[in-house]
Amino acid sequence: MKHEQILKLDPLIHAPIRLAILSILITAENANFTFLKEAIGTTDGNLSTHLTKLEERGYINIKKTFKGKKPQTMCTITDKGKVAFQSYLAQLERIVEMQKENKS
Amino acid sequence: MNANQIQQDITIIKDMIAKTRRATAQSGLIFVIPGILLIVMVTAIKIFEYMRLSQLVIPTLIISITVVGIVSFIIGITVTGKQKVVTYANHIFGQIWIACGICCIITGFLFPIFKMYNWNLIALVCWPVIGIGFYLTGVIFEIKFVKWAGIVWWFAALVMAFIPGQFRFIVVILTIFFAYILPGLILNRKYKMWSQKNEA
Repeated sequence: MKHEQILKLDPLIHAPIRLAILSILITAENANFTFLKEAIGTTDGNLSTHLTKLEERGYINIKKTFKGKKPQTMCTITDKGKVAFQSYLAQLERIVEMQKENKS
Repeated sequence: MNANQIQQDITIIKDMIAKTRRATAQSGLIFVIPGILLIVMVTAIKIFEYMRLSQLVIPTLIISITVVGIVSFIIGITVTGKQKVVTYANHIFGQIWIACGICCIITGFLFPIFKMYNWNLIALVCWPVIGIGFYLTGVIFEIKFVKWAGIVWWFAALVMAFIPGQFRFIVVILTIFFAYILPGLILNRKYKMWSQKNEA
């Protein structure tokens, strides 16, 4: 396994919870905080931390609104986030192919 | 990065996409309740015709179509409001049915009011449009029986074109039950199963 290939993996996406967040948002137009928490199976604090990291990099947008008196946090993936996720997938594919070549 | 870590990444991506798809499944209520109202409307109109109360037919039609439209709209808004995640498929589904609804209002409601054609041909005009809605819904959500429901609406329109007018109401009721209410019930059952799976 070439070390350079592994280094090319985006370290921000290469974390299970952030990878899960982007996987959901790449499929959905938007997803709220509750759905992300339930689908990923994590705590409020943990999810908030990871969402903040993704927002700081510009991979997602977080919009806070109110539905009546209930706060709602909606997340959407940005164009930058889509490109980054697709690159991550492409890189993952290359690593899988290289592993197959190494085995044969 | 070893094979296990790659597999973990792939599993995460697949799981999250599957959960998102299940969460955005349609509950089917938007078809069931309006479908029942439509059957009640068609039956009432037939009873009025039989009792020679034809002056009640057009008012019944106008009121019923308005009520069905409003009920569908309210169910659509309520269901959309409750969804925790909205996919592009949901968005397009909503737009398709808005388009079909507007088309049916123009061709199946306004045109007869302006005497473009007789009221008893409404089903012939609207059925192909509703068929488009179901067919595309089936394509978007990859549900074969909903696609087939669309084809049933088109077939029913063809059948109604060639049978005597007094028997059209039978085809109308059968179409609404088998290609509107029944798909709605099946969608509702699938939606409940998927919701339970997501919560597990």
